[in-house]
Amino acid sequence: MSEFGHLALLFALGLAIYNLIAALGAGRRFSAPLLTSARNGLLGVAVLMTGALTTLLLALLTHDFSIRYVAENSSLEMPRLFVFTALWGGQAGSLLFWAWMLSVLGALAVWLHFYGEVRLIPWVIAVISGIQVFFLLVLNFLTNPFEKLPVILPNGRGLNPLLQDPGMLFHPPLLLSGYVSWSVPFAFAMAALITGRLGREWLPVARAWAMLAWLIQGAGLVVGGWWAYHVLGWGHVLGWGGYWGWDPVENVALLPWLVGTAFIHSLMVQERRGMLKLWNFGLIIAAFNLSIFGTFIVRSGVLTSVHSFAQSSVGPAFFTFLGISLAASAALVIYRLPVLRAQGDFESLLSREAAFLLNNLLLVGIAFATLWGTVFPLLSEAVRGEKLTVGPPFYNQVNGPLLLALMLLMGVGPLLGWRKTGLKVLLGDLLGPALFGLVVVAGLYGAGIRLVEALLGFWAVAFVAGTVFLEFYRAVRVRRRAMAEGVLTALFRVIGRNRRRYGGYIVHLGILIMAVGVIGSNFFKLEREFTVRPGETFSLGRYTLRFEQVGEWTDPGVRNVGAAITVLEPFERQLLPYRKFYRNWEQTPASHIEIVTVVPWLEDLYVFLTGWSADGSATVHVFVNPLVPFVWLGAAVALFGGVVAAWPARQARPVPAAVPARGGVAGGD
Amino acid sequence: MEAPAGSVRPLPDAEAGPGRLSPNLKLYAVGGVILLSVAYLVYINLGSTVAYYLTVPELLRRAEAAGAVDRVRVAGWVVDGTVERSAGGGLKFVIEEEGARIPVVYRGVVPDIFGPGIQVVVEGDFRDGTFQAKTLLAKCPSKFESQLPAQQN
Repeated sequence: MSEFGHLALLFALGLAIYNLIAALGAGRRFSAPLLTSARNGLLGVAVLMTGALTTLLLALLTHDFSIRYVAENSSLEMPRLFVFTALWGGQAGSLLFWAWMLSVLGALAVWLHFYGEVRLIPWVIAVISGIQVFFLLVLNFLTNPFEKLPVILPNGRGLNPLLQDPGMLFHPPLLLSGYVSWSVPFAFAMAALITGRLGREWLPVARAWAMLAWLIQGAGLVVGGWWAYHVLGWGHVLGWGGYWGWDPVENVALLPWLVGTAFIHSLMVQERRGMLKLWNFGLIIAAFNLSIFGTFIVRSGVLTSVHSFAQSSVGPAFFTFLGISLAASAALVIYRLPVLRAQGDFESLLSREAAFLLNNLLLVGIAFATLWGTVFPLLSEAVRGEKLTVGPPFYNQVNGPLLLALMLLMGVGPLLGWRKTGLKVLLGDLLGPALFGLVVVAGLYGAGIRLVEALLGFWAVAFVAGTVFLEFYRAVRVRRRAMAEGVLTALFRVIGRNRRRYGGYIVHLGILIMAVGVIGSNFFKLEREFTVRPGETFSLGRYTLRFEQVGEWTDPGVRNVGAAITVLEPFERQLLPYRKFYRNWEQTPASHIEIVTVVPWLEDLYVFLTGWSADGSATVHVFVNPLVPFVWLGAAVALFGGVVAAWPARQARPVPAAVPARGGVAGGD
Repeated sequence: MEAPAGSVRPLPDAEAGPGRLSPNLKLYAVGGVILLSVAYLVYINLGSTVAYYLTVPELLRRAEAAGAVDRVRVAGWVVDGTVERSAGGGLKFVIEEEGARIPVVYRGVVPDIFGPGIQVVVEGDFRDGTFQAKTLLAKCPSKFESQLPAQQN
């Protein structure tokens, strides 16, 4: 079976090289047959890669332990579901998945935009093929998922138990797909630079694919946080009870998303005003290269141990590719620099385009600070010969104020018109939301909250929520007057008529809800570790718990040790946090964490077992995590808003004469 | 900020007369303030949160020269048979790297996967031959692959 996989990867590499050459030829001197051939070749690569991926999947499902990857990442006892997820559980498999996803998305993009963007297409194919050639070289010669073992093993080692979780079904493929998706808008941007068609042509396509990448990667980040919080009980620090820990691997996944968020905002300025061309190219180039950088960091292990640069087989290859890609993009931008220079000036600081630019600077600033902290150990080692490192406090203290500023801008920006807004009008608009924020803060102060940072954060949330409400309220009111519709009907139609704008506001709303959760859990978290004897009670915050006893039971292939705990106050509940010891992985038990979301206070009581001893006592770690449910709710709202904004526009259709053409909705995007 | 009421506004650039900042210039000023704030935040927080990341042998060499080494981060494998848990939740163990060993004392959240043979990263102060850890981290599963061969040795 492995032979088929080997052959598929080799043929795919050969075909990708052919496509690259054919596409370059078709681009230099336009040739329809050559271009069609390159397009078909791209489809062929997708077919071959699908064959290779299916082969690996079949090898896993049929337990073909003659293949090293199968033996290292799966076993006979593993449930089917996790045998399936072993597909991306190891290095070679995850890179195969990356390359497969690129082949599918690349073929899809070229297929969809072949006739629409025929001038750009040869170069799009060339860029995508170039990336494919790199990944296929790595897969064929550095980390081949179909590598044979010298002997056929009776059973495999199995997947790390921490990865044997349903979270594994969604988190890695979403994040990997998110990384991959930035390749498509990047390819279109490169094509625009090469052909010199630097106008708005490439923007709609780039926007659609950037939105897709933003959604997928956003979903991947959220699922990762959910998984860390609910199942693993750790982020940066194992046993930390959080959803985000500024771990290098998390950071590098956030970077393209942040820069992509900036791109999605700033491309509107180019669409509307023809400005910020250079900036937009810079952003999409950065997003793509950060994706490669992220894959490199995750796969090379550069940042995970003290001196391990040479440890990984794929690290140097990725580093080289990153260098080539950055150099090529930079050279193209410099080549086109005379044309890319800004057209048109900002007319006022109080304009939407100015707000977008400032929003971009903040997003890029956050990305830069995060990147700086992440690679600081490498930089300091290169410069000073000493490895220096920063932890979560660095990121919180740097990004906290920047995120606050970004949030305020999120409130002000949408109220600004293009070109110029009168200061008086703006202040009039801002007064209501600002006062609403003060009312909220007064209420919180009355409730006993004195922490200035938290009050400031909550004020900002209320203020921005007020501006978003104002935007919806006005549009609905205008529509209701004009069309005599009910509130809900008008609301749906308002959103439907301008999904980009109102989908964007729904995203903003989701971010605000998330901010409530982040502020709450950051500033008001309680945590304590208790070592208790049977029958002993212990309390944290408003909760009183009693430890009953430690017990042990077995499931197939797993030994479990749990602590029976009763919540006594303020309600009664039995809890059983336990540890799972899998065969072959006794050193790395997985945890079952008990999380009770307590509705009246909107907080999580979070209990997990950290240890026990022969005398029957147990050590449990208890957290009270306020407002964390808001993080998940907000993320769901934001992703929904993203789908609303990204959903492809319906094809133009004849408007029935009876329906008035104008909805009377003010403003554009 | 605003053009005077009733004034006719010609081309945007023309607004940038003497004694009046052009909108572009104002925008760049605000943008510059943002960028400087980012740089400032990074700079001051880097100074206050940075820690040395050393191997165990490097730490020992440095400690020999300077006595105590404060605010340092060290990675190593937890040596089998050295883990002691005290009744109060305290933890003692020895970590090893490249043949060099140091004892570690720690009190706090113990990682889920902590145990003999696991690679951990401790952060804290090294004084009088003992590492007083303030944080104890274990490696994430996304990196486990490269770690496994070492574990089996």
